[in-house]
Formats: sequence, structure tokens, C-alpha cells
Amino acid sequence: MIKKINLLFIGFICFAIENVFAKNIMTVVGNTDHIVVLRLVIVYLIFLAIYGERNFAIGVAFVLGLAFDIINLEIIGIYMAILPAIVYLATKFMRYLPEYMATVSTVCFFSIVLLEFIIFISFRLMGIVQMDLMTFVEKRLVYTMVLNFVTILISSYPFAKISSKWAFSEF
Amino acid sequence: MQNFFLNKRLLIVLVSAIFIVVLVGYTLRDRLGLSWPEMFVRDTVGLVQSSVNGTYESFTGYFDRMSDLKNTYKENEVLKSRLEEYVKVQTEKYELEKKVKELEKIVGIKDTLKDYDVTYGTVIGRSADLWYENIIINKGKSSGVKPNMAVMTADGLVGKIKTVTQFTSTVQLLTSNDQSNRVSAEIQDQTSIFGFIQGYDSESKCLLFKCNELTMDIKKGSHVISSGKGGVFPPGLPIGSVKKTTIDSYGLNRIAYIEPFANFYDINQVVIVERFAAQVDVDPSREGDL
Repeated sequence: MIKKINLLFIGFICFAIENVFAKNIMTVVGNTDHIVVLRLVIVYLIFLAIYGERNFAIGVAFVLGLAFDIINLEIIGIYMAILPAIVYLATKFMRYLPEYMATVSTVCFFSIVLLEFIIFISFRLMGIVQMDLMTFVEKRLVYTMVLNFVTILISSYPFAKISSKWAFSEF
Repeated sequence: MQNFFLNKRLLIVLVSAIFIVVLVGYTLRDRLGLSWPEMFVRDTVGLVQSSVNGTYESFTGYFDRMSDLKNTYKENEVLKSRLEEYVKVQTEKYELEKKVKELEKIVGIKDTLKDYDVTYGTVIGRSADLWYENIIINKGKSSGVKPNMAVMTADGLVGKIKTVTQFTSTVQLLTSNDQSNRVSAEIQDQTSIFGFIQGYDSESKCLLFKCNELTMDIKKGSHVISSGKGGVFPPGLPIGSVKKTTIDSYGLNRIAYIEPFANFYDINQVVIVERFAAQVDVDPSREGDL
């Protein structure tokens, strides 16, 4: 039980890092109109779902998504729905692949691409952004994926260790 | 058909999909305020965000100060040479202020539109998804912040307060895509030209100023300030300078591209401006959007 709370707590730490990054580092990276988004939470959630327990990971995804919606978007229901759905899809997809660190990381990478696209399309439909698809790919997706590639490289090993160690222990 | 409704998993997915669509639809429309659970979450997280940002800024501030140190000598020279000028301006300002006060007394003006009060705030959060829409600052109801107050940086107007909680508030930026987000403004020339700042052109990075004035010449580089005639913002807040003008596609409006003074990409410290003069009852078609 305590271990589960720890896992949730780590999720919130990832969430906090993501938020601090969004506000501060982005302006340091380049004072242009490129947008670089760190997606640490989804990486953590997918590793938790695959190396740990799937349903617990979906629950954490729901809670973190709700928190993200309330704090950053003021529109409830976007990340709250998308994060659990992507975690679920990733685990379904992993059934057909061997469970190596490299394959999980690849699935993670494509999940982030999927997440970015879904977010872009839903915001576009709601009329919040009016970027067209090419600008989105040029100004946001490419840089975001480069950053997240590095993030996955760095964080995959600790996330996998933590998930497999804590998710199944009784206490 | 019987089988379809008995499939439990499918039913759960369908019901939750409908629930989420309703939830998004409900929260997407212009809400007057946040519900109390939202406020609670935002306030709690806001406190953490403030402290984290404080530590981060003191850390990076250290390096900034180091690089500042290098330029100090040069700056000092320049500033010294301008000191004499400053004294002159200061005395002049003092005299003028006195004169204005005396004249106001004679005429009997008690308050003008121009009176306003300021509160200082720090940006504690900005979502990458809504980078050009919203920022979150660390002042809320407890500091007297109310919706629709104007928000500036040291350089110029950046937006207005959208929602408030006890200790934080969300600022809607001028670059936001919201059609109802407009500010009544004037171009300062020999004669003022009045109009609205409405919309943002992300390609040229300019705010769009719309007015009915078709014949008058709008000079490049003229300054644009808030006019105060929209009933929400105080007048005289600097917004930007004119870059170019065009006529809209119907030939009815003049559109001036305004290069904003404030840097919308990097906002850290803000000033929240409260207008003293009575606010007009705002209907949705006017300045602000509440």
C-alpha cells in the first residue's frame, strides 16, 4: 500500500517537473516561437503500466490528467481522458512485442507522438489554436520529439526499476 | 442487440465517452467562476509552484547577476552622464504635478479615468499547450485581484484577469485566440484615432487594431495606448507601436498591425492594474468578456 502511494507520489513529481519545465526552461532553450513540451508523465505511466500493474497505472493516469486539466487548461476532461486511453493502448500493443527496454521505449516514443497529435486535433476542433498541421509539425512536434527522445533515454531505466520493484510488493 | 447492451466493457466505454464530452463542453464555455474543488486544487498547487519558482529563480538569478557585473562599469558611465538631465526632469515633474493638482482643485475634478492602483505579481505557471493563451500568476482574491483587471509587464499591456482563486489567478493574454478578447485603444498622433485591439497575427507577431477611420493617415511608429473608453481598462496603458496598415477585405475597416511593447514569449513579472473610476456594466460584446 505504502509502495503504491510512493508510485503515485513519483507521478506527481514528474508532473511538477513537467510544469516547471514548461514555464522556465522553454524560454531558455530559445527565444523564438517554437514550442517545446516535456512529456515525462506519459513516459512514467507507460513504464508503470508495462513493468508494474496496468490498472493501477490507468488510475494514476486519470488522477494526473485531471490535475493537469484543472491547473493548466481550465477545461476538464481532455488529459483526463487521453492519458488513460494512451496507457491502455500502449499496454495492448505491447502484448504483440517482446518486453525489452528498447521496445518499450519505442512504444513510449510513438505514444508521445500520438498524444501530441490528439491534443493538437482536439484543440484545433475546439478553436483554441488556429495553427495548421505543417506549422504544428515544424514548430512544435519536431523539437518536442527530440527533447522527449533524450528524456526517454535518461529516464527509462529508473522508471522500469521502480515500477517492477514497487508495484508488486505487498507493503 | 440484447448482446450489445450486455457487453459491460463496451457500455462503460460509451458512458464514459459521453460523460467526458459533456464535461469538456461544460467547462469549455465561458464560465463566470471556478467551482470550489478546482479552486482548492489550484491554490494548493499554486503554493508549491510559487516556492519551486522562487528557488529556481534565485538559482538562475545568481548567474544573471554574474553577467550583469561585467556590464556594470559601462552602464555606470552612461548613467552618470544622464544624471544631470534626471534632476532637471525631476524638478519639472514636481512643478507640473503641483500645477495639475492646483488646477484640478480650481476646476473641481475629484477623480479621473486615469486613476488606478497597482498590485505586483509573479508568473508561476504557463502551460505549453496554451502558451499564447494563458498564464497563471501568484496573486488572487486575497490580494484584491478581480476578473477583468488589466495586466501589464514593465513594457506594456499583456492581457486581463480571466479567473481568480484565493491565491492565484489566470491571465488571458492579448495574443489569445478568443474573439471576445478585445481592448479599446487609441493611436496617438496629432489627433487620436480610436479603435479596438482585436486578434493577433502570429505570422507577423502583431496585434490587430481595427478602426473605422479610412481617410486619415496613420503614421508608422506611432504609439498605441489603451483609451479607457471600453469601461474596463484604465486609459494610458502602453500597448505597442504601429508597424503597417491595411484595409480589411470588405473595405469597411482599417486594420493596423501593432508591434507590442511587451515580449509575449517571456513574461515573468507582471503588474495588475485596478481602475478606480466606476466600471461600466460590461456586456459580452464590449471590452473584456465577462
